[in-house]
Amino acid sequence: MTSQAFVIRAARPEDCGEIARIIKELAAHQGLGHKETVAEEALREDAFRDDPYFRALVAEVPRDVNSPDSGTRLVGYAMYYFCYSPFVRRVMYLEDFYVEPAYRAHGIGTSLMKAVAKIGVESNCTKMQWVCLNWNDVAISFYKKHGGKDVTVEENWHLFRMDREELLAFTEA
Amino acid sequence: MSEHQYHPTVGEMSSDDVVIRAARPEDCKEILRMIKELAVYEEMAEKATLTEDALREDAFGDQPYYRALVAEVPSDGRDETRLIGYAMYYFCYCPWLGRAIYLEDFYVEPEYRGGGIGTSIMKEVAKIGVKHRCSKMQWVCLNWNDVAISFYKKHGGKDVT
Repeated sequence: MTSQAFVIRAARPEDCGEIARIIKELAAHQGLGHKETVAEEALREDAFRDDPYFRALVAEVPRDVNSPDSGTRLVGYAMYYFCYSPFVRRVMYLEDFYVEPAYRAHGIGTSLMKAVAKIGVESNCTKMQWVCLNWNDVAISFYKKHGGKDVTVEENWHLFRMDREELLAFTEA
Repeated sequence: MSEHQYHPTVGEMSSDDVVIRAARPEDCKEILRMIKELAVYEEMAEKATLTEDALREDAFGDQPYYRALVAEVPSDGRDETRLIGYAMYYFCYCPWLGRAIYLEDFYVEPEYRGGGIGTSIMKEVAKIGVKHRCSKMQWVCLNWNDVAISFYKKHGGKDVT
């Protein structure tokens, strides 16, 4: 596959079926295929509204490189949204990005991440943040190679969470 | 001293006296004051360079980049009120679980602590999350902030780092 053979573009409502499939593949890839992931309709409702909960980019390739009319399919995606810091205003948050295994090592992952970063710059975001599991050496090297810093190690930040069960217990107490 | 002469202490105030409500554009000056106070506490005072106009534009412009709640108490014994706490939050997303809510900041002025106002503010953000069908609430904390860490764990927060 040549570098010209893929296109990174903003997701459209009709992509949500494929995005849901890609999310499911990512789950299976992480050994979590049994877990429920967000359904196509929920993705569509939450991304394509006046005040979206998230936005997405997709990586698209021709179905058949030798047949221009064969249509396209999605082989990767990135999910992002805008956050805020009272110190620096808008922040870009990269929630997820994934490229199907067969399409890796062609720069699609880097292109997806770069495209999200570019949107961040164009939207006056002062920084981009994301999480990574500390055992994921491949991802950590990738991020550090491109200039990412581990702010848990460098600045002592820890992420806290209340899942639905804790949220309900807390709000009903 | 400020124009607000009467500061009811936590002991004098009933929980009915504290109102936690959605922030309004005119609150941004006071929210900025409290952001700066919190920055001093976090030893990051030099980083709090945001202006009141920027705060207002980012919450009350065409597209909200954050939302805020404020805690309001009576002042001067008349119909006046002042703000003594705030929370800043926004919505996020998780490809597994869908909508999530993120608690960016919350603060209560030192003399109003110990009376449950902080818990109430955090609870109100959590309730907004539940109302919007969020599956989780997340926030960060510096790992040396033992007071905050105990507070979060007491209320069911988990350190996922």
